[in-house]
Amino acid sequence: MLSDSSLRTRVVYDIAVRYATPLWRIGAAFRGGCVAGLWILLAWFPARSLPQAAAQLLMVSAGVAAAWIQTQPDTLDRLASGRIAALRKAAGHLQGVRGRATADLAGLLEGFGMIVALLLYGGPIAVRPLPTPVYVAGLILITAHVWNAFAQVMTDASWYNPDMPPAAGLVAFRPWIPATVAAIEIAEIVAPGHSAASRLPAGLVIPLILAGSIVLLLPFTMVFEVLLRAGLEACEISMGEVRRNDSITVHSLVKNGAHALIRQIQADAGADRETRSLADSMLILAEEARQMMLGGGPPAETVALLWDCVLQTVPGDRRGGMILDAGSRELQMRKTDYGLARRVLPDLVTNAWKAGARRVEVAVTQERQHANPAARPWVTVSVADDGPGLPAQPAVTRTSLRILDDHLHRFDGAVVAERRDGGGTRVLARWRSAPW
Amino acid sequence: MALRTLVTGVHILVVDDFVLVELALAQVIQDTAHTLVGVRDPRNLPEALSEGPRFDLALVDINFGPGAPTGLTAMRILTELSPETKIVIESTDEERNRLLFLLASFAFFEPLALLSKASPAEAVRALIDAVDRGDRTGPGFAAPDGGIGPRPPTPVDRLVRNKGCLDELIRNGTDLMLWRALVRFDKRGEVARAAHVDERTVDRFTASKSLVVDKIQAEFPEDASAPAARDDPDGPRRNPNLVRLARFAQTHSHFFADQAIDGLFAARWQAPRPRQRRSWR
Repeated sequence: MLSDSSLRTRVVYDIAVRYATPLWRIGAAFRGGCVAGLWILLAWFPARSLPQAAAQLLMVSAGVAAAWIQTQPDTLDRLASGRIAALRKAAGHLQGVRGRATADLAGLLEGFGMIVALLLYGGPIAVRPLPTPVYVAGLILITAHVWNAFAQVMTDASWYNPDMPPAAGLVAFRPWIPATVAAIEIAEIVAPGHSAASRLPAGLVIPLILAGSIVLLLPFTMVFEVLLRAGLEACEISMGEVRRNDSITVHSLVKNGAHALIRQIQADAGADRETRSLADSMLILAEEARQMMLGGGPPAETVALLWDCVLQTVPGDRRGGMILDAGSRELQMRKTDYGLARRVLPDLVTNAWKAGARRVEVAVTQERQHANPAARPWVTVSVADDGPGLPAQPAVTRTSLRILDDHLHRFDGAVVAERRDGGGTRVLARWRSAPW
Repeated sequence: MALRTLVTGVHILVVDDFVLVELALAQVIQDTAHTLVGVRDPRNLPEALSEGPRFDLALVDINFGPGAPTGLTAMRILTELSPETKIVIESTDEERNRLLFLLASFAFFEPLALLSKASPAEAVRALIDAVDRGDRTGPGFAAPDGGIGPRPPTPVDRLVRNKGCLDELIRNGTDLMLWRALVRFDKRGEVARAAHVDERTVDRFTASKSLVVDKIQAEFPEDASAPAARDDPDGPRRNPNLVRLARFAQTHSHFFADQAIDGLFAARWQAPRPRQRRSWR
């Protein structure tokens, strides 16, 4: 699950960057508290071992201090512009590595520092004798520190960065990080020395339970990712809601405006056919924009999408008679061909139902020439209706068919109308598929 | 030249994803010697340019829809593969997010003119005829100096005069990363984290870019994407100038997301800069 890349999306990364800032600040303070607790426990250490114990806590103390400063921009700014060159350099480094999946000074000091601090309680140089409660409290504080530090590592925003994904090896290692860390802690505690397992102040059970609990970071991270996934899904649902609301806006603003324009043009005897067609096409474009905004409908530049849009221009009581050939629906067209079909099909369908047709059969095909398969294919839009047939004089006047015919000439095409046997008309618009 | 117009006319390439634009232009040049070919997607330009005679004029749209390259890619391909083709940008006046695209077009490609898609047929034909005559004084044409003179500056003059703003807006790769982070974040720490920079860099960026955005908005008041900073109800958590820059970045997110600008700016940053004479005063 943790190697799954489906969470490496823009939305999840944005969420992760947003939670990282406050969580890192809280985490640095929490780990600072753990280290302060380790210092307090020194009060119960044998006096002769205090210099050694204090020395062993220095590195992790410097690490948590650096991690805390890293979350305090103002302090970091002051240090970066201060007088002490070493501090200026360290502050500059801490500023530069923030947000990157890389080993930084604070992380290294904390990591190695905690290993050294753990050696106070286990391994070859452990301090003895220690009261059992101090020993247990020390292990609890160290484990809590490790838990927090690696919880941060496991949920770092860089795991979800879609632009700069983490290295494949790192992703593969991620599920093994908790077990590896737990193994290191156990190995250190039970390492041979004068504090062998049998001589641990609280026996083996408590150290094993504490170190073993680090393995729980794995289910913790999985729960974390379940929450992230839920956030992602909630975001997508909200996005869908926004899209639906926007599509209603498009519908009410653009479509109502287009309808008003179309009514006006229909009433204007001086408006030519091209003007009327372009006004009608506003409805198609508005519907297409609405469908694309909604998403989930037919893919772009398919006949299915075009047909769904064209149907919106047909009066509701006539739509039942509009039949699209089943094979045409899935046809994916090139952009120019789709644009031409969007220009041609609404006019042909509108002509049919306005002429009184009750049934209109539409097919859109794309065919290669058998003789020359390398040649560009022909696109054909066929609209057959059961209307009264063609008027007597369509060819000479500037009818919509004539205008379409002019347009298609640019693409080696034409519009041909013929009477159907048994009544009605079939109009074929045909052009050579545009190369670009 | 008149004879050439009669015999050959202008061979025009229309780079626009909307076929109706090509059909409308075909009607505009009907009964003239000009000829026209259309391309829907900048990615098809190499193929289109390799076929047939060279194009005298390319009318290039800015926006080709989601997922497609923009007009900047189209102009780059045209400049590389057909440097003799003159470029005219066609754009919709209402597009609020086009300003940076237009500035980049004039900064990187020196197009001949800017043509509004709302222009009447006569204006379009006049522009094509002027290109054919080699006359570059008509409306919409870009004067090399930005039209310095007594007449009020045209929209194209303003773009030519202010194309340098783009270099101030994006001085290096870090600036570009910060603008891209600002599209999605408006808090100092988050912007720094997303852009992989320290917060002082964000502060310096905010201070310097606020001045550039002020300048752009003074020159182009119609671009009201980033109104002047006001007190923010969230108090000290948010820097009002940073929020303002984030709004500007969001308005122009399509520009900042365009992969084409990486290459264009990288080439500019790598080019040797002219040495400036040092003044002792």
